[in-house]
Amino acid sequence: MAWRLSVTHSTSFQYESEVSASFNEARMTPVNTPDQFVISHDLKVNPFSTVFSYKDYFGTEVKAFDVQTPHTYLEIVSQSLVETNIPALGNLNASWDDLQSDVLKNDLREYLSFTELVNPITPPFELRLQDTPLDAIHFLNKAMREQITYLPGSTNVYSPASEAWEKRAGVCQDFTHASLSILREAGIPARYVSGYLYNGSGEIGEQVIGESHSWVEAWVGHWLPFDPTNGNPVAEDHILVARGRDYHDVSPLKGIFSGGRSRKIEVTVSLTRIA
Amino acid sequence: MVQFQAQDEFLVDGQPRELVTELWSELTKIQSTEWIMKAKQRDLYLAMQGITFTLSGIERPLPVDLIPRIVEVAEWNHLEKGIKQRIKALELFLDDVYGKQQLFADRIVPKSLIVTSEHFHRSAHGIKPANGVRIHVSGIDIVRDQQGVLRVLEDNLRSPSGVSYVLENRRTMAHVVPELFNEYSIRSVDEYPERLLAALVAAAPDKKSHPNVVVLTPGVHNSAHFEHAFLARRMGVELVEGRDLYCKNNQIFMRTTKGSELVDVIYRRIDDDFLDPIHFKPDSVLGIPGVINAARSNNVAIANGIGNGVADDKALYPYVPKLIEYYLNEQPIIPNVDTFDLQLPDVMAFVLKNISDLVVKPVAGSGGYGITIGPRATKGELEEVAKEISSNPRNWIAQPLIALSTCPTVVEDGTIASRHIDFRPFAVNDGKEIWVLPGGLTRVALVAGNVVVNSSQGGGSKDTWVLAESETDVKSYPEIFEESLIDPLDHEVVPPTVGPDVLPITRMQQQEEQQQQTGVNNA
Repeated sequence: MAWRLSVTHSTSFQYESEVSASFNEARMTPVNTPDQFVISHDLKVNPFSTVFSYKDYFGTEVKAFDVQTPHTYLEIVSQSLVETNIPALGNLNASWDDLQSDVLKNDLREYLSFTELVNPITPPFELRLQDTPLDAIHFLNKAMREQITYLPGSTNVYSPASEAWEKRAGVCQDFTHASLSILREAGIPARYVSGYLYNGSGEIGEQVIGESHSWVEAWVGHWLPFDPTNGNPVAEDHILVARGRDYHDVSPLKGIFSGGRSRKIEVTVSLTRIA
Repeated sequence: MVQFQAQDEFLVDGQPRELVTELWSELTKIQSTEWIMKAKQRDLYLAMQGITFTLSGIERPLPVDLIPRIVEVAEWNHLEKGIKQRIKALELFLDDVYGKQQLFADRIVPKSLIVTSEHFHRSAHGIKPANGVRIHVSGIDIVRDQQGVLRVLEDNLRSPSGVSYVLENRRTMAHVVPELFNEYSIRSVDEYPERLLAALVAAAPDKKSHPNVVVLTPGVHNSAHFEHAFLARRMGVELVEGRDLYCKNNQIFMRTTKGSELVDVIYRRIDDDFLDPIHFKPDSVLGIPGVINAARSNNVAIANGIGNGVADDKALYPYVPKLIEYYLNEQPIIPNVDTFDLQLPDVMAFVLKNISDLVVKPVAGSGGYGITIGPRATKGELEEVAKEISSNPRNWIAQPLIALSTCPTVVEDGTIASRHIDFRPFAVNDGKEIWVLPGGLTRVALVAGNVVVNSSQGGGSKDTWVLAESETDVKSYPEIFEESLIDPLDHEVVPPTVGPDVLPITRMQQQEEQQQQTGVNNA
């Protein structure tokens, strides 16, 4: 049975002094997939700005805008209404040998390479000792929460996997990067997924404070999503927005500005199950 | 050690080829003291014209040798056809790579090769130029091997430089050695700025009849700044820097004393990485924030296209003949230089074994830097390079050493000696026709025996005479015209501090929110 979720994602920046110009790209629009249908989406910018949309290389809907009147704050409100289902999974019985195929390694090269953020780390376990790649995913999904403590503030937006790994602490971005690093090292293609997580009771009409979230999709015959931060399966409570090699490809809001000094960011995500 | 004998463009066994008989008899009449005097005249003329090239931070005249290189009609026709074919295929390749990517499905080029190219820009995905052109200007480097076969050595599809010297060399020659022109009907090179402007106009979005075209330069410190200024002046368009332009509502404007003007076409001579701090280096102050999305929405045309470097990546080069067959269903007219793909293990083993006979080049390099010439390298250097290529095969290619052809050249003491040369013809694509400038930059290694001819490596150049087929395309004597033919500009570009619309973007800062980390200042 499909869920219908309403998401409001507000981001506000406060600047200490006037900002003369600001250019931004938001990746906050849920995508249509076989398991997810976007009923409506709207992005508003204050101070008012015209929003230009395009689909990027990874298939993500990007909203680009610039603000060129002097301003001391910037507010972005993204509202979506999405129907979600438990993802249908294809066959997941690729063997370790299958993953060695030249065709696969060539086609999925981008999801097998390290990046600045998905850099090498040394886990105390060897994924390849698992019988199958699927077993390796189940193992990793459990192991990550034993290795890393969820601790907001311990890392920042530019932290690579290795930093969270050394600190043994981080947020979902770090759980995701570290998982990708271990998977790619083991030869399992894996990509970064950005989206939202509903963590309420499931009661219709109840608004809950949720979060901008990230998880992993690994290729083990087909793409298999899993959520190493929580260890829960990816189901109707996960709303998919963007996929990429790492956080840089999917960051919900990225921009540059000139003028103003320091700033405060406030981000709130609220989700309501409508049906 | 491989034995080889280079071909000479003028002489066979010491006797002039038929093509150069008259010229050779003129040249041999000139005494070495006269050559020395003519060289001084040349240097004075170049200095007066302000024609310089920055080498290792020092501005100096680009030495043009006083003996031209001559290309006969049939050979030129062959080259022209081959270059057009190559550009046509590479345009289709770029359109495919930044669009449907059909070539990966058809297994023409390994996807892993493209997605690991440092010049493959995902932000260029989906940009569809209004007239379909991405390679507005190209410079295809051609060499003649020891069998006399002309081969493509590399493609330059980003910001190939040197065309200003082609035009200036012709004028310099006419001033200093007019007597050499007497017996030859030479095709004119003066059309280039007009052709370039026409191609840029044709690239404008909305098919405007009088689009606003600008030349974007990184500034006076760039080694090719002379050329940027030269081309802007000869086309009669503004020469601007990033700070003269700004983006608003996905359109590009130029600040002028008369207010802001919409810009339709940017002929940019700055690298992709500096073009737009939103998508590339966030600290770049050379570019224009927002320009990539302006191009994406076809409010401005960027020439050359963003991400063209994926097509002139040296690791793609061995696949270009295959691309010509795939996209055009034709056989390549000009062959490549044989190239070893180091990503194949057997090939790598062969290369490592024979490294002392081969040339090894970094795929990302340009200007002749980073090249190891096997027979000239020390044992230590070869070991070093062997280690490098085995640990990172994607970043290197190997080729057999080619004895570049030679051409008689006036050397310092006023005598004529043979020096190695290569050739860079330039092509301009306006979307309807690919036009190849009849001429080009012949680069000459001024050091005896040296086979690296790049101007950035201290090489010189030669005027290149493409002979005319009939009287109609002859301008046997170069026209000497005045610089000031262009109308004085009716306005000037002003520095951004007095810009009417927005404040200058002097210092950009990044803002990004971390996932699932709310209320944290990530500064």
